[in-house]
Amino acid sequence: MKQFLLSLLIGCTLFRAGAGSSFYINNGTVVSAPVIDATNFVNNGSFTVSTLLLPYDFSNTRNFTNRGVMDGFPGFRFDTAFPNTGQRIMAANFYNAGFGSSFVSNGSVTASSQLLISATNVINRGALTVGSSGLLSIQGKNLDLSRGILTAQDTLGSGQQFFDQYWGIGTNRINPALNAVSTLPTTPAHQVISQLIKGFYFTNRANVLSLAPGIGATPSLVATQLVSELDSNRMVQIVFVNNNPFNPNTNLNVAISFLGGTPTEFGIPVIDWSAIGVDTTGMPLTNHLYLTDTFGSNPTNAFITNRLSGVTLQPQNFAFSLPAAPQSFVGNPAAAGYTDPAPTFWGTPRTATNLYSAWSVNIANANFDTTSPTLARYSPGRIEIVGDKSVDLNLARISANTYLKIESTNHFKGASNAQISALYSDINIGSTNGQLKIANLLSPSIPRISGTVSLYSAVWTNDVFFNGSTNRVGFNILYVDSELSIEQPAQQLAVNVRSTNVVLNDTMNIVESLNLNVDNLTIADTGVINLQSADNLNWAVNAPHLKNLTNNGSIVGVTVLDFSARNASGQTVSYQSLVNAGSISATGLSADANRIVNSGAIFVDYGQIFLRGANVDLQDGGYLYGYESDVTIEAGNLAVTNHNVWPGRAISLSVTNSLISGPNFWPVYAGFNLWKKPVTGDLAETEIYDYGYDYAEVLHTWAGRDLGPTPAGFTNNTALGALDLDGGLYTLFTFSGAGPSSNALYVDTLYLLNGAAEIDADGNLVSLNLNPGMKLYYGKIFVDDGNGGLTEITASLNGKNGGALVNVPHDGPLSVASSIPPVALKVSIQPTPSPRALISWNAVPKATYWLYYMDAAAGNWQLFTNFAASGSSSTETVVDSNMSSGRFYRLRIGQH
Amino acid sequence: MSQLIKRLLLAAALVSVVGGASAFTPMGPYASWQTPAIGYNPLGFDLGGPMNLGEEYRWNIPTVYYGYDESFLNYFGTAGTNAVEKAFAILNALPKVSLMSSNLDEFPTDTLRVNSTAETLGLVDLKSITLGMMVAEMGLTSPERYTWTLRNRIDTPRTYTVVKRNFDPVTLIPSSFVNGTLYTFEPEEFQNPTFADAVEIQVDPLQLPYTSVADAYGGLFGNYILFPGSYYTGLTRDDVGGLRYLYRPTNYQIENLVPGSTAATSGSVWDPAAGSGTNTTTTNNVVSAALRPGVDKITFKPAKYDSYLGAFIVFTNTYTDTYVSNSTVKTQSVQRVLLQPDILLTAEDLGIGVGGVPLLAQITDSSGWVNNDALNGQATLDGPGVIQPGIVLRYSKVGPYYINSAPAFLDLFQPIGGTVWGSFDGTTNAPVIFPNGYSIYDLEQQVLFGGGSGSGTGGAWVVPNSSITSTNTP
Repeated sequence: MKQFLLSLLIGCTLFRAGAGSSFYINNGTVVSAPVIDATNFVNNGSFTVSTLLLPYDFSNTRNFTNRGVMDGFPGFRFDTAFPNTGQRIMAANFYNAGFGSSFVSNGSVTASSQLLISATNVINRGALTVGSSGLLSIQGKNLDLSRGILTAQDTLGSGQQFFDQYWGIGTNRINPALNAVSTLPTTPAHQVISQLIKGFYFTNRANVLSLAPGIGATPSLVATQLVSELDSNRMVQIVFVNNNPFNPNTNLNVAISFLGGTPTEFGIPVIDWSAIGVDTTGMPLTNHLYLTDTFGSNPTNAFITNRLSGVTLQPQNFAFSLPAAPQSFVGNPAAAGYTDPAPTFWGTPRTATNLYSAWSVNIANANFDTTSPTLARYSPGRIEIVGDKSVDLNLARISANTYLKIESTNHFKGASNAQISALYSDINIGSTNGQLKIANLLSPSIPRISGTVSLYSAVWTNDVFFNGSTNRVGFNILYVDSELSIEQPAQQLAVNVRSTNVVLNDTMNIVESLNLNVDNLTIADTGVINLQSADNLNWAVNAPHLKNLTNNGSIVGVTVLDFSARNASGQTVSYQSLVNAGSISATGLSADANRIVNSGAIFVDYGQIFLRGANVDLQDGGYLYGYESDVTIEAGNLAVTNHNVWPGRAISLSVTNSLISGPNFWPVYAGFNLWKKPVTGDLAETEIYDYGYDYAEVLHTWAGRDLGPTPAGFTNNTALGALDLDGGLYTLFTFSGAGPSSNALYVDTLYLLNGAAEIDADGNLVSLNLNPGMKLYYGKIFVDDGNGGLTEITASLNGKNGGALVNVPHDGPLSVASSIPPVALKVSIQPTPSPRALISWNAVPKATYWLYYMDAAAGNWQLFTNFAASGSSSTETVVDSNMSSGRFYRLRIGQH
Repeated sequence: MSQLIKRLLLAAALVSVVGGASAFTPMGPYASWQTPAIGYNPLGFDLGGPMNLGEEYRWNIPTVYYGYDESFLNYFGTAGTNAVEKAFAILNALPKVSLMSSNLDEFPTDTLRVNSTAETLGLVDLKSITLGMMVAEMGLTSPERYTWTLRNRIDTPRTYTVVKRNFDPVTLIPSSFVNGTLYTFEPEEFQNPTFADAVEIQVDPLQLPYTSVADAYGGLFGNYILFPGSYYTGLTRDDVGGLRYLYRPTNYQIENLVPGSTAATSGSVWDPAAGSGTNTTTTNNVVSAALRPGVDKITFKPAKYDSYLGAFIVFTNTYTDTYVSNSTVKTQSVQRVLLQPDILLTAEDLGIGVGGVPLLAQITDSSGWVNNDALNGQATLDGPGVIQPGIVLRYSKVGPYYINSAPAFLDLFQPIGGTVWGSFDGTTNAPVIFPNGYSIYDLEQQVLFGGGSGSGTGGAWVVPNSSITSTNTP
């Protein structure tokens, strides 16, 4: 109180103000809160106020100008408040000047808790700052925040919370031979308590350091020992840190030190995890996470309550901290590394009863329970920017510890060269000129140490013989099992975008809702739309007016992606165009557009890939990959060349007008279908590899016309270049006509592999079933010769299978002249001068080769090279200098 | 529910701001299950319990009279009555509840402001505390305290039954919001005395908490809960919503007229009453027990005080009573003779509260309110009922005080200063400090030098003149 009064007296001498004054101008230093009732507030000096609960505010003030330093506790409320009516309205203007010579003393407004600005026009060129427990709110009509700094955090990740996973204290038996003197230090099994759901607890047993991947190779294991000894006194402390066993290469450093530690007293182990991050200004900054354990120095233990996680507990000996600056711990130096001591080091007998303290804790990446991310909207450390008319974030530097809201529904002027980071955000922006570029609006990830750490600290004493006598020795071992990450992906709770044309360069990981009121959307190669939740995230509903979608980046959905628009009645409307040169992945995909072009990759898990368009162009190098799904294409005109259509089930085509097809190789696992035959075009350069599993009936429906045994049947009849029927035990490949009259499939070359090659006593193919009205005309038939080669049996099957299998002499692009000898595909590794793979095989005359590779991690076949046989060599060899570990190769041979 | 504790925690955490949804809590005499063990009047300072919808209590007279006794006038003087008049002016300025907009957007969700000079001096706003007390005496209690409240508690295994007694003024469904601030809860056990409570927790700690004026006198510890320097500029949306629920003309309840009501005898309401006035409906041909709508608007008027006689002037209040009989709305002219105002404001030494802190204010609790459940259907309920005249608003006249507490503050020169009555707003006008004649200089001197007479009149309070601005015109 005395200080308040004295400071008030000082402050009163430095400004001029009065009831209803025109101006309040501070050119000096104000250190206590005056009552200001003035139309204009100007601070050119230092203005520091402290109020008890509510943020400091002003009466009747329309214009705020700050060129100096303002510091408020708990903060400021810049708006126009009428002193006696209770009504608040927007102020007219809020201006915070640029830094000038120093941003410490110029254009700086800082609040510990609340910095609330409500003004028609807001211009910020300086720094507006609240702490990690604060809220920075800027609301108005025209917000020009370009070149300024907005901060809602003290340090990187400050305010992160800790959620108890399990906890326990008690006694058990420790055997150093098993639990310490090992390459795999493992705690004794110990009882702990955990909380399954809020309010329900159970007891279980835990081992902290277990045989986790990586620990055997030890790179993740960091250990330190401190042995303090004088005369007959000795204290032994060891720390084992299992640092990210599942990802030991993470750029997360661990350092262990001891605070104190003497021959008669344990020290306090200090574990310091550190990782390099970047601050608001873009400068490198090191994040630290510290753990201290006082169990050795004070084994009298108890639990303390963590209300945040629903009345859970933690042993009080453990303490984590995420300090603003690196901490300096001075103690006895510990031995570098850990050396297995002699058995006598542990005393006799080695197994002893120990006190233990155990705790497993989840260090959340924010200051709330992130299992409910929408709580971010209520969490401290947040920034809210709402501009009714315009918001300009170009060159702004914004850092919100937890949450950022950007709302500029009328006109968002952009954020070019801005640095904006927040763990969670809501984006609601629009444009009046029809052009909106979303670039540098959000950083894709936030540097923040978070994850799970499990701890077990053991203390015991034992009789040990040293220095010529048996003495009592104290032991303290701390086991630390940490699985921490240093970067957290930024996530958007809700995204609303309104503009005729939108270009997205940023990453958006959307967890709650998406509303794209956009005609034309282009996702640049750096752009990502990741729909992380199945709830409320339905592309067609979320982007109902979209006409043209161009994806050069990535679209990810956890459910079906439906690329079509909706009219006012909710009915489906086709896009004008869908052009994918990037990556699209989802559980299922449906696209309906006048023009569909795919040169990128479309991955689907369990649904289907369904493309419907007047013109569908599947270009060279593109992918339609369905892990357990069908690929169905309905097109007026279909062009498909070197397109990797690899469904987990069937391929189905329905083409009305024309089919233009280049070389293709399509493996199918549930048959293939032609529901509607195009007027023109064939699949003469396409090979379909038709797998049939044991006991499976593989159904096919084909709309090719039965023109009889004539070469004319191979033209404009969707004739197929090659068909591989690869059957298993009792596999049946059934073909039916699509009607309405007789149908037939014309194939230049038919390969019968494994179970598909079985022929009965009458010479019929056992695994082939051609239903009435359906015939299969072929140029040649080959069977596997059992030695890796192929034997032609063209003539022997002519007229078999009830006359439905008919030979028509015809050569297409993929036809082979004769039987193919074994190719003997080999891969050898040359380690020097640099590792490379040599892929070789026996040359095949007149052949064309397609060599594919697949990296184990990627799981997708990709064309490595294709070329025609030279005819001058008996062996073909290809060198792969870019090989990586776990690469597979596959060779396809065509012959003509 | 335990607001003082929560406020202190909030003060430490430094939180605030606003939101969207809203709600209110009716108040009445405690239900049988509302025991101290589960947080209802555990310390003896509460006014009543939170009522469910349909069990609310209200005034059923359109004009309520208030007046200051000599103790109040002596202690607070004209400046004090002026401050109180501002509180009543806020209530009188409310439109008829039937004319309010459906969603009450015309009322702010936050009417709390701070006068930093008053905060520094530790002044408590007389107008704001009066406004808070009057909202309570109009039938509302703290919605923030009873957003979540215990209905039952079982010891073994420890089980709490938690209900809501906070209602949205538009939809009338139970709500977790008060003036847009969202509250969740956690059951807590308190010691000395032992009781349990569902403690409200702000979901967003940065929203402005405890915004309702009805919360101003809902403190668990019987003291004001406005922080020094803070003051209300008016009622919030939720306060008004609660009053609208109570007093809307479509809220029919069977009620008796307040005691002393008789049929009006003449056209002049200022005629001195003849005799003491009987209170029987039969002798005066007035319908007492009847189905009545809410009065739509309550007007507060000052009773006239004769400073020479030191007593109120007896007068008769005549008004038109509306009731329903045989499905027909009827009216009757009713009069009541007031020997003293319905609401009396006094200044007293109110004793000591928790932690040795002198009580700052006290008001008549709801125990005297009449429960008309027996008149309103078969089910056994805890209301509805009628608030009765005879309410007293008591203000502390202890004056400046200091708390010396072991071990840290036993030094006479390091006391913790107590709060002082004041009157202030958002202008740069110097705050008025009570008791009358006390000045900022006095206060500063006493704080800085541990006491002293300063420039004040040292306790020779002048009895203010009776130039009260109010009249008794109906």
